[in-house]
Amino acid sequence: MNRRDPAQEPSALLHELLDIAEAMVDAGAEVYRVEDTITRMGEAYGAERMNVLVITSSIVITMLFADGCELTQTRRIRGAGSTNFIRLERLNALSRECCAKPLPLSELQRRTDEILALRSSPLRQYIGSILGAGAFAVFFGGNLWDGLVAALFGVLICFLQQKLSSVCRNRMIFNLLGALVSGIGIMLTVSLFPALHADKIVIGDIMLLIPGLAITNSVRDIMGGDTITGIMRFIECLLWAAALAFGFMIALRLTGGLGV
Amino acid sequence: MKDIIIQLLAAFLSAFSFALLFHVRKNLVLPASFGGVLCWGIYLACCSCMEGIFYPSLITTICSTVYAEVLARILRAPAPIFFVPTIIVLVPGGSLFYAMSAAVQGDMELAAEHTWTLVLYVLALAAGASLVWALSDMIRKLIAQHRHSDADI
Repeated sequence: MNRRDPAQEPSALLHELLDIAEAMVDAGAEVYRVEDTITRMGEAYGAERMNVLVITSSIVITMLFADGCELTQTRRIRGAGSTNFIRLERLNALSRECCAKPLPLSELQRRTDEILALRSSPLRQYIGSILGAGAFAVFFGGNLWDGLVAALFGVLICFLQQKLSSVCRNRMIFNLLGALVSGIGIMLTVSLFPALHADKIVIGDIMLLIPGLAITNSVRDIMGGDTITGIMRFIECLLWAAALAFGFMIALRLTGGLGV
Repeated sequence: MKDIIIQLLAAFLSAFSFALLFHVRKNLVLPASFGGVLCWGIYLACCSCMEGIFYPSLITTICSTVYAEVLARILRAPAPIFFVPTIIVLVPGGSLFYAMSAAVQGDMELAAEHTWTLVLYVLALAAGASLVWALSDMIRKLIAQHRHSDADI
């Protein structure tokens, strides 16, 4: 049996832990969860002491081994990170398994790659966007027709998210464009069918783009003592929300002449 | 009454759609979506016997966070999986829109009013959730300590 002892190759192990930490952050894990998980895993693999610092855009891990050897690696995280809970759940389960009985490093790498290969199917995203935009339009007081039109523009927003987000890494610009395009579309549709309620439809579609939850999480990070992470996220979210508002504002202005 | 049923139904669908968007595992989608109904139901109940929006949102958030934490323990999955779809209906997308649209129309007074509502919602959400998380963390540590001392004996 070719079972290698991970302690023999600490830098490869550390690299793998960084991969897992990065995958967790990308999947939408909270900062304290990532720090806690990586600390436990490192200790399970024989580290004497673990020092993990995660802020939204970077990870620093220092491991101290029993022989006095101390290693540090850092990782820069790019990308806004789309929340993917199935990955988070699998990573969580993998880490628990490792803490109970450390897997050989090659096995750990294989399992991590397997989890990273889990992608959300476009169909699922489209159905989610259609239902979400429609349901929120009705939820905020629109009628069935408002819901249907909001659902229609949910398709447009999802389409933009699928096609544009790979070339437009800046979420601020993306939100601005998305809000502008869908805002103009909604206003034009409403001018054709005056019985529709423009505000309810726009709110339904806003809910797909709004970083409301991220703002909540950031305030929570600040209250919980992860001040740097919290403030970074908070400012990011404010800019995203401002871009969203600005995009719809321009759309309202541009179409204002239509008597909407 | 009809309005309430429609709202609760829409809350269910909203939570369900976010469970889909955030790729929640199939078996967990329903418990997560039901959270949306629970959250909005509690909010409506609180609003009927309380003034303003801060305290109803705070109580609703506390209940929703407890729901998510308890489900996470029972179903052995990370808590955000249940928390996010449950709480999504409390996210004030409406206030954001109305604040912005008032600003466009030049009505700064109305814009400020909606912005204040927005701030109240976000604060209530963050404060409620943080409170429950802090408490559940303490409880977890207490239990761990307890086990540890048992093992020592």
